[in-house]
Amino acid sequence: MSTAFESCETSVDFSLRLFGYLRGNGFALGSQQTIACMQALTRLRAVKHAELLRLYRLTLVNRQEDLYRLQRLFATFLERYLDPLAPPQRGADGEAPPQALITQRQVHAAGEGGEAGEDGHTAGYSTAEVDSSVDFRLLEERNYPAVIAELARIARRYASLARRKTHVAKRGRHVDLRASLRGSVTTDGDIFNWRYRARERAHTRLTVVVDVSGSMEIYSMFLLNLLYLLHQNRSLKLEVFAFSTHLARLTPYLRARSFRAMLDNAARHYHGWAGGTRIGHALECLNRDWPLAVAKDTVVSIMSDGWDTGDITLLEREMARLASRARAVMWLNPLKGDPAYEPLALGMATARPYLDEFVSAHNLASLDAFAERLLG
Amino acid sequence: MTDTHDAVLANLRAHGYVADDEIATALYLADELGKPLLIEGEAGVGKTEIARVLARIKDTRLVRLQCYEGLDFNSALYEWNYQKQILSLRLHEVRDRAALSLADFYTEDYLSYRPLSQALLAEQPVVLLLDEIDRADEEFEALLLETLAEYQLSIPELGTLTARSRPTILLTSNRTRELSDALRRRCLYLWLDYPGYDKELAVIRLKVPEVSQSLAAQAASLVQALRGQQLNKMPGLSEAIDWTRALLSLKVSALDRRALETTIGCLLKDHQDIVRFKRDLMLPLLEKVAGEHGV
Repeated sequence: MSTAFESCETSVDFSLRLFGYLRGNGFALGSQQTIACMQALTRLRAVKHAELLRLYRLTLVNRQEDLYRLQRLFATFLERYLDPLAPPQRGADGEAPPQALITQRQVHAAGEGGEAGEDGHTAGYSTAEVDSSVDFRLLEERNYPAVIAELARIARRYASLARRKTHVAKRGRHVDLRASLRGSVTTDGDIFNWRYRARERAHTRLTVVVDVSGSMEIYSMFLLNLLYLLHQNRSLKLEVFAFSTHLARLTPYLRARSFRAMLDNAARHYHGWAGGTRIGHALECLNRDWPLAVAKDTVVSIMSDGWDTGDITLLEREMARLASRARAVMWLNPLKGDPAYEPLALGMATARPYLDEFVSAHNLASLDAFAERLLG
Repeated sequence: MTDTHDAVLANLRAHGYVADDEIATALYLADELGKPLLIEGEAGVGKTEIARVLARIKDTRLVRLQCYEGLDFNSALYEWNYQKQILSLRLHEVRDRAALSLADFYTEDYLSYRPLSQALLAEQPVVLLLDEIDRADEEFEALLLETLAEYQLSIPELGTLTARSRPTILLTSNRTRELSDALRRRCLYLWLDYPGYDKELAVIRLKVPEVSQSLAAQAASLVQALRGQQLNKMPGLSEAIDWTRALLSLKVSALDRRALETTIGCLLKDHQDIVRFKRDLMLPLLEKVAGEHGV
């Protein structure tokens, strides 16, 4: 195979077609990027394939996660472009053909269930109402898309939280000369009442520690899904950790383009899914290794059923440390959904005195209430 | 590609920066297209250094704005000099009682320029570095958009200040926070990865010219091997350079256990990593390096 196009015109033609192909495969290319790419192309008169790829990397992509995907799509498309006899364009990996120009955002807005199914039609959750009081464990799998769509709706409700940096106040660390001068109008330019700038209270930092051990899998998946959707709201200061036998930070993976991709990414780096539970050890890691995840204005939420296979004195010590550092500690226990439940599990009984809130998280209604408590 | 592009590459090299084609193309295009360049990468791979070298190549000033949480436009763009305004108001009252209008106090005389406006209003095109932009708040990012895309600055009381000369704008980010799409779209994007063996060796030889070829090669391959391990904090290029300097100043001629033990603090900056290194990694890695370089 050749490694260069014959002329710059071919490069331009190739690039224009590639843009359409990339968009068809979920790349959110704006005109700013494509124009920059074209300008670069014509200035440098790039014809070599390696050079073209380098230009695309610089101009079309704007986050590291997309670099590899671009490279792969470029290679696939180039092969096809050089060999016109190959079957007409289809998305990479047999995805939908590019006529479905769904941008990333739209897919996200529709939630997981909004994506087209394998046989072409979308899951019919829109009509199916799902009972928000049904325990996730008892939920039939065909209802999952409906539940996820409902989670997306909950997340959207908390999507726009206005926040400003500072405001005029009677007390504060910095003098606000503008406001002070304005106030001095009544006293003929002499400032008697100084005004200050105080920081607007940012909404709470949230740290969520999710138990992904075997017994909790179903509940933690739905909670993680809700957190993933909440994270789409970028102004939220959200940190997510998962633990079973050890603790791992999931926050970086929340950035993924879909919840499934997030799980895939996380699973690649975290090998504790569906293992046993050592809450005390996990909290120790949180306290020791991630000191910045918990500040004095942080609300820490822990989701676990409290069946601890680890050291109980350790759990007690770490709970006390955590409670003293955080603004509030919330415990989500799916078992609490059962009216007859009492926190008898040793881990749970140990942790109970240090909690500000003890709630369930076993169905849609309780997750909704949880989001409301945190962000409402 | 073109001669200019190769010239950038040679220039970077001459000023002490080992660059690959991608970096050279990025810098060339940032200039040519007049777009800001967003550089992302792990800590210590030479993001900030690019700006420094670029300023040296262009023989111009580097205006640097270190971003931090809570950075606002008063300390980044411009600020009205209230004290001066009040003082001159009082002076006018005492001296001449001339008819003054409000507009007299909102002129450029009463502006304090901050890095961004300094860069825009400089006579010579400067290199403007917005370092660690991910540390600043999202509000600040939004504030930058006008400057980044239009090279201008709107001051409500004065009007719009347009750049006298077009600065080369570089932004760096350590990815502690996701930057907004609006900002990303306005920039060219350069991802700097940890260097491969050859580049690492070249950088070490360039930055620490006194070091012997064999020690540099050993150091480079140990750092490379270390990056293959699961560590909390990977050693970057700057750590590798510091470490080589440390080895040199301790007059180490070949890597051995003692030398490693005493200097590992230059490479690993995390207590857990160091403990793990001393316990599990040191001997196998040393053996590996010795195998590669026949020590």
